Amino acid sequence: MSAAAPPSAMQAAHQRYRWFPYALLLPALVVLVALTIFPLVFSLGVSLTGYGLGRAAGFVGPANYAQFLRDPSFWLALRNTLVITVFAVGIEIALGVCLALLFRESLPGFRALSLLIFIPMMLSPLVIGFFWKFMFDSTFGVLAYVTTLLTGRTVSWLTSPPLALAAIIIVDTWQWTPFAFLLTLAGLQTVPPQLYEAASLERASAWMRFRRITLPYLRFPLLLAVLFRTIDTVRIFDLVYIMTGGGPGDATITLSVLAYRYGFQFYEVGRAAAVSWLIVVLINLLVMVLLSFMGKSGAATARSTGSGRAR
Amino acid sequence: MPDIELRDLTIKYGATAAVSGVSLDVLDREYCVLLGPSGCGKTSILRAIAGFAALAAGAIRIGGRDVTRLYPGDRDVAMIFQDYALYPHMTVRGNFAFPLQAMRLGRAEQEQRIREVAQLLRMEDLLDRYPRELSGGQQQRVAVGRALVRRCPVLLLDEPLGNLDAKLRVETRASLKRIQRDLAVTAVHVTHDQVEALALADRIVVMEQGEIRQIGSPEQVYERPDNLFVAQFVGTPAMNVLPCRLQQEGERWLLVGAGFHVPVEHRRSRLCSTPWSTAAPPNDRRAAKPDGPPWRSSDLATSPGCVPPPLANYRDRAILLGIRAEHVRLAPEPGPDYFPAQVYVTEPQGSEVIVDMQVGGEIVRARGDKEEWAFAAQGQTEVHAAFPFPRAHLFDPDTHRRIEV
Amino acid sequence: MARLKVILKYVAALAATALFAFPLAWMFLTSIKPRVDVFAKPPVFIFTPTFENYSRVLDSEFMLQLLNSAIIAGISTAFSLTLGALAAYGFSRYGRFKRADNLLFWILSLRMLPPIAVVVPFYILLRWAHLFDTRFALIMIYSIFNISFAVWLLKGFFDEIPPQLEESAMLEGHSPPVVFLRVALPMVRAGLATTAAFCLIQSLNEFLLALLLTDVDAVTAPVGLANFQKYFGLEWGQFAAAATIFVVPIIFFTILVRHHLVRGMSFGRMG
Repeated sequence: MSAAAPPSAMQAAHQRYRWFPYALLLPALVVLVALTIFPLVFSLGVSLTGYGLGRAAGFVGPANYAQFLRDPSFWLALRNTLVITVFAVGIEIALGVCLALLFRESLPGFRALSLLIFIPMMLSPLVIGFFWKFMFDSTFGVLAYVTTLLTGRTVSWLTSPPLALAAIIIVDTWQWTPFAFLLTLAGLQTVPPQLYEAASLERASAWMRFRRITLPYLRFPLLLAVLFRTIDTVRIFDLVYIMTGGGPGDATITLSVLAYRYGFQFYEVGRAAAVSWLIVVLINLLVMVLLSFMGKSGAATARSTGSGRAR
Repeated sequence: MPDIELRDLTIKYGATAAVSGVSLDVLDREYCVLLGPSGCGKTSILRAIAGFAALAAGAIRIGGRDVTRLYPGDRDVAMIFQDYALYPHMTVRGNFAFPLQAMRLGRAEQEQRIREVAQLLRMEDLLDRYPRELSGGQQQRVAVGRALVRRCPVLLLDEPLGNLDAKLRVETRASLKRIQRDLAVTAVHVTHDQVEALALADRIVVMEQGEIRQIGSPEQVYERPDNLFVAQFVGTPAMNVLPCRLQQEGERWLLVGAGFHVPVEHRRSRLCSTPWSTAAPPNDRRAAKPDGPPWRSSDLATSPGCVPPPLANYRDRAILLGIRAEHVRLAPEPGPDYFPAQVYVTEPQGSEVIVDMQVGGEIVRARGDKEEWAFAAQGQTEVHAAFPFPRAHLFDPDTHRRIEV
Repeated sequence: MARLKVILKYVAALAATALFAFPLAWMFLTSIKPRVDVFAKPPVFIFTPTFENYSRVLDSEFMLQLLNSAIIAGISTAFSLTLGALAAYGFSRYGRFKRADNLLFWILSLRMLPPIAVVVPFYILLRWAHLFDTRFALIMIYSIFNISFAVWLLKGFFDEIPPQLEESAMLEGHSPPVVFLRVALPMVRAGLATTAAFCLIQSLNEFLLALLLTDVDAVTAPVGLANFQKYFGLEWGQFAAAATIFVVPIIFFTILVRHHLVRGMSFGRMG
């Protein structure tokens, strides 16, 4: 809504019903504040204590934060998280765009097919992770069978460190490529067809058409996809927990799994809180970036499309 | 006692003022039209009367009551929206019933009113349809019916004819006027279409950029525009406006412009030049007919240097001359106070023809009977035109206000 | 030539669909395989179907876990949809005040909160309040994410209704609450259904919080599925059956929202 939009009926502060906006907004806000402020403040406090099983909660200051900076597991978790995020998001976007370009023309039956493709991203990573684990299983898994056929050696996916990480990336990509596909497809549909008609009159090559016409319209959906997926992949927990539990050893541990380990396996609650807070800060930064893009790009898209959309 | 009183209304959107300090009285049972181009503030005023716009300053009274802070539903005002705003999830009957439900009327009374309105608008057989199943014209009638069903004393209309095709527009125009008369309601109608305004209004309020430019009956606004904006906004085709100078030439005073001249004449007291020549130029059949109120000889007197005040202040200064297309004279041959003009387009309009021509460097449009001007319609490009002074409107070039003669 | 292109497109499309549908299809097949075939090596594609896995699962405590999931997801969704719709309408129609954008941003950030961040304090809080391992606790906690999602998604739907309809209703004498209930709300029916479906899907799928804040009574389906690994180790057939049962309603809701999939997945902020 532009700043210069005419004042609506609602904004005219009618004496009689002044209470109404409050009645609308307060219930949700009160509930949200009550449910979130306490835990977050509490968590911050706990992250500064040495709260743990069998240990009194004494104020330890930022020692928790300092301690896990020295913990090699932390750096491994950070590295794994980044590797998974970069590879998974990168491949998802690339594949998603290819799928979108393929499905863009709505030939009969394509709608049903694309609906099938959308299903994985709606399912619980528990279901997906666990079942892929079965497929990767070196004894019974169909995938292990296939790779043994192809390479002639017994490949044990989930028990060898580099392959385990690769497996997680494969599954996450499999689950979320449909998301990039969905957003890109929606973006493709915003391109005014007249542009392509004009381009064909001027005999532009397919690559030129893609670069000059299609890509600008995809900038926003792709940005959206990258940001959403990055935010979600940094938080990744369910999939890793169910497929490898962070193992073998520490090979596939991620930040969230690390926090879980501190908190619930070692009962180092203080440290768990500290890691959690770090994740929160990271995510908030990404959310701010996301929002600034949604605001900016929304306006930029509106400006650049000019004739395509209503003034 | 005026039915609607607006005092010093100021409405702002953000930092810009859409309406600045407007005061207006709408009389009881009057059909008042707010006329102006987009962005002039007319719709903002209408919405303010309805209660939809927050006022930065000012007050509104309806029927003697101060409604400035009143909830729209408490103002006893009905409105027909530009896009009809019909409730899509209710049938036509439901759309009529919904307002009545807020009035807490008995079932029987509601049915009665719905039936009446449906009959009035000839919609009895459409009552059980949904808005999406109706044509544009039918939807418009539902919007009208919904506004009438409450029997409010004030009816607001926001460009109600804008979405209709030309033919429907003319028909609906007449029915709106008739309804307003029959139901004796005060109507405030917003439009940018001056033809509509002239046809419907008891009084027209011409607006520009948040301010009122003139208030008057259609005749007043058309025949005596107060300023250049009103002069050019009202009337089709738009009034021709040409710059000129007031100059003396011997005994005569002339308004002289590029390629044309108009002898100044004064009606009541003093005569400054020979009256419009009774020896009409050949073939100018229109000149034979009287033009304006007949002059009495007692009106005539000869006196040197008789330019009437306030026109006298403009001696040797620039003035803007306005003349409506239907008052421009054309003749196939030269004559006194006629000047040459080059025709370049003629637009036939049924029994009339509009002639576009060049006078000096300017384009002038003239409208006349097709037969009288057959010579121009049939391709004669060099014609002769004249602007009769009694039909001229003069405006100050800086303030754009009307100069009285 | 054009014909060939179309054929190629179909081949590619079918291949892609197969790639994304295969694991699920394989899972379903596994669920109806007799035990012997589940663990056959090399894997078999031809077998005689059986429902023994399903009958085992139906007898187990997984059904109770499914019920818990349904109750928690259902109540949380209903609660969140109500509060969310009110707030969404408030932001849409009355949202031009100072700090309105800040508030919306904060609400969105809740949706992006990693569950791990709230798990520890909630764990301690629930223990202290004797609410550990209760359905009520999960309902309230899920509502954090559901309300914030509902506010964002529904605001977009409300923004699309032209305000003239509400203005007309107000002018006719209806109070703003009535206008909301009888004019605005009916017009976002599609939005309400979409939001409900997404909230249900998200609540059903949630794992981390359910894992750590429940023990016996309030265990949800995803946790139950994870338990298959812990307690039933190699019972892949039964797991496949349980997973298939769990996945059916999710697929159903997905099909329900197919027209608004983009909005739901990007909170209606596409361009």
